[in-house]
Amino acid sequence: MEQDQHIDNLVQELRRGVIVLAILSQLQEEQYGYSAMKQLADQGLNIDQGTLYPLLRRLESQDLLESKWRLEDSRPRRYYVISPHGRQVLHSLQQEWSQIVATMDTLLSEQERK
Amino acid sequence: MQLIDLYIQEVGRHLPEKVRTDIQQEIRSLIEDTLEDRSRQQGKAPDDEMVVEVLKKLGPPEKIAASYLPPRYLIGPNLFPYFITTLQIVLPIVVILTALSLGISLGQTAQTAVGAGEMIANVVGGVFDALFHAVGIIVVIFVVLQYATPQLETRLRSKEWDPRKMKPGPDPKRVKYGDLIVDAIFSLIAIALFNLYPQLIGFNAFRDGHWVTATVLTVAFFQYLPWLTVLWALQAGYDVTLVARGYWETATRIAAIVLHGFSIILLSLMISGPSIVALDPQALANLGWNISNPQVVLTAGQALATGVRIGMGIAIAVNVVKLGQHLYRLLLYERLQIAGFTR
Repeated sequence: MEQDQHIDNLVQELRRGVIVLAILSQLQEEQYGYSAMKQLADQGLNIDQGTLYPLLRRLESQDLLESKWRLEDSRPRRYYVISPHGRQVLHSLQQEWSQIVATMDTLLSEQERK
Repeated sequence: MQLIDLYIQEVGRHLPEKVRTDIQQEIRSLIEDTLEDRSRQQGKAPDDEMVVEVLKKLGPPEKIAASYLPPRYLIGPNLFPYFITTLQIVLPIVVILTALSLGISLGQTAQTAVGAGEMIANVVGGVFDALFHAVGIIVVIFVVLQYATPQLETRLRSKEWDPRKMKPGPDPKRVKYGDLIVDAIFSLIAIALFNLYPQLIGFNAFRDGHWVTATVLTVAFFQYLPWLTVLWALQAGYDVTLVARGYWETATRIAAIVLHGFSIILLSLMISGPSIVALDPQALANLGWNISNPQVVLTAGQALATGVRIGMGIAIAVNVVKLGQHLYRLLLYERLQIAGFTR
């Protein structure tokens, strides 16, 4: 049980490292928080609500996202979209990610061969 | 839906006013989106049960509010090592100065002190009082630094570090041979001097073919001498043992605490009892001194007695500090070291 919890924590930690990249990649077009969360979940990346919403605000404060409130069916929703600066950062992160994947593939395939 | 309003209100209580309304509105939007989605999935209108489920999934209001705020520290992780270093420098100085000043003042007033126990309690209480004040002031200074100069923390974080500037620290477990050897020699000299040649502690004159002595030690001193001899002998034996072992161990730390405790008790009894030194006009006259006014000699004797009491007060203070240091090393140091608070 404790072992499972430990593995679960490590998995969460691993995922946490890619959340920003995942969010930036999914906000090429305007989306409100819940729809972005659903979209990521549909593609296999479940992000907790308590993590996603504060993160969206943080990315906005870092000029990586832009947001605006919009009234839809008499309900206000905040829509987020990647900013020009966010696009540059996304490009750099994508390159870094590709390198990480390549390196990890090499490391893990070496480990499998042993 | 009253639950949602309560929840949003409660979240707001844990948020700064500047961002409160905006975040509250965003959380409301999130809750409504989630409810709408669940309602569609379950094919029924949102009810109280559904609201409870959604709020439970979001978690306690203070938790969701905290997730929107940056980590808050009284003293941030970058300033914390400097905080600990400051404590390590300032606190021993505070302890030494307070214990010294208390020891001196108590030494001067010991003749009227109610008892040795009360005196020890005063010294220890005074030291702790000063320590709490010092820690409080240092905490306040660092909290002000943390909040008033956030750029300082950034500067500390980005400070260029050169591994070549690292210095090896002293090994706190290794004993200092020089101090121990000097201590042992003085203890043995004290045993020999006070037991075999107590007359040397006073005034001597060569008259009519033999030495005449006027010792300044009183009868009271010789009542304490057996205990002092035991203390010095134990001290000398302890010093030699420690030199032979080379390193501090739990047993030697406990022995040091016992010895310092013994010294404090003995000195306290001596300081609060009758004077251990005095000047006798008649004995000085026997040396051939011209004592025209014995009152002057008695006054000088009282001054000497006060000086000796002050000296004993200082000795008590030093022993209290050393006892505290050994207790710290024995009980706290290694735990703090494991926690990374000390080097």
